[in-house]
Amino acid sequence: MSEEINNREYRQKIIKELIGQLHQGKSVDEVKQRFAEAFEGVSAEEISQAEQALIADGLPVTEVQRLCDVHAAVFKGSIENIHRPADPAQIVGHPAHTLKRENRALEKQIEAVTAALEQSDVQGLKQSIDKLWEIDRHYLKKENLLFPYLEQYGITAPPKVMWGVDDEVRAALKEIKGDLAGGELSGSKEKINEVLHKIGEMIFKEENILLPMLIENLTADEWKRIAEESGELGYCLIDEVPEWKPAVQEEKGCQLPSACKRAHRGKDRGGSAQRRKGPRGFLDQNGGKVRLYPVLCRPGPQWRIPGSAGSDPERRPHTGTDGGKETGFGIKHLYIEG
Amino acid sequence: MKSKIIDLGQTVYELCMKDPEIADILAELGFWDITKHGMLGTAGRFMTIPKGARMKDIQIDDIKAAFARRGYQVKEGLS
Repeated sequence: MSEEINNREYRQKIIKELIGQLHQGKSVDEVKQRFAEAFEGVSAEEISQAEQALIADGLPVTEVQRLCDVHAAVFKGSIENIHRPADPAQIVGHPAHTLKRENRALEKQIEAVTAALEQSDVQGLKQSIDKLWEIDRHYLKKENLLFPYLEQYGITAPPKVMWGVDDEVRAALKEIKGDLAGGELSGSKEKINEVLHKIGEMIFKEENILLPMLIENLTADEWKRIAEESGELGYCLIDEVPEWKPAVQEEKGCQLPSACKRAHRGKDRGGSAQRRKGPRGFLDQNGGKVRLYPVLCRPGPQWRIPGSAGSDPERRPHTGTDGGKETGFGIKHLYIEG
Repeated sequence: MKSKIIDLGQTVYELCMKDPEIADILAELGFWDITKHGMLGTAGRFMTIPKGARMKDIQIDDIKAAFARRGYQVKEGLS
């Protein structure tokens, strides 16, 4: 125990020393090495505590700010390594977790459809296919909340390919619904099996390619925004999703106490939160008949107009753009049914 | 003759970067998506042959046989 205390005091001493050096005019790079050596293997939490102790001792907030630069420079990589949640998809309320929950529910619904099909139960089939249509919401969230981020990170092909398949699923489900409404079952069997297979494959792709890609690239505040906007778009086959509250420090990518955050307020850190803008949410218009989803994005995904045919994302027109001069992004509007 | 090795533990991206012929063989086997422009360097980094086989319901033995016919040796990876 005493060794721990000694180590803690030692680290506080180092931090003071480094601040002193920064004060004397040394650059971040110069002190970075010393910082890294002294704090190798130490949790960012402990560093925060050390900094907090110093502030409590009277360290000026501006000095803390300087330390933030060193802290961020040293730990940009390793904060993730030390503090990455074991798997974000295990955090209840996290969009990755919700996506998986919806997929599990979709798999159950696929089973229901398969069972009705095997029993040639037309009524049962109609009901289960109707319910399966909630997949539209699942895909909508993926396309409008997740894909824009991938595109910003230069990952453009997978979203296009996936969106194409999403549209094929939608088209197939609509066709099947039409067939079943007419009491037609025999011709639908193959179509149903095919669409169920496609949905199953998409679930695999989402969890084994899409999610790892997103987890690798997105910051906590981007995930947070996605969580909020998911609530607005609604969920697929699952009940309410509890609110996810990521640790605020994580959002800045730098585990500093609140004094530091106060120091940063109003100052553009130029960090990830600034650079990477994502979708903003939606507006209601025309008494809720048509919803517009303004999303910030670079030339990337085309937006869907209800009733528009075709699985080729390339062919869908932009439905309107805004200046977006400040950020250089355009605002495109998405119309959805509902 | 030097025999080429396919490490099933490597990602499709790693394999195809070292040897572009592998991409052709995989496409023939039914892995269409990785041949699409921009997919190899993105989705391909998260995909391994065994994973892809599970996803596409392609028998791993068929895959091994196809590679063997082209002079490749298949090495079992960790995933």
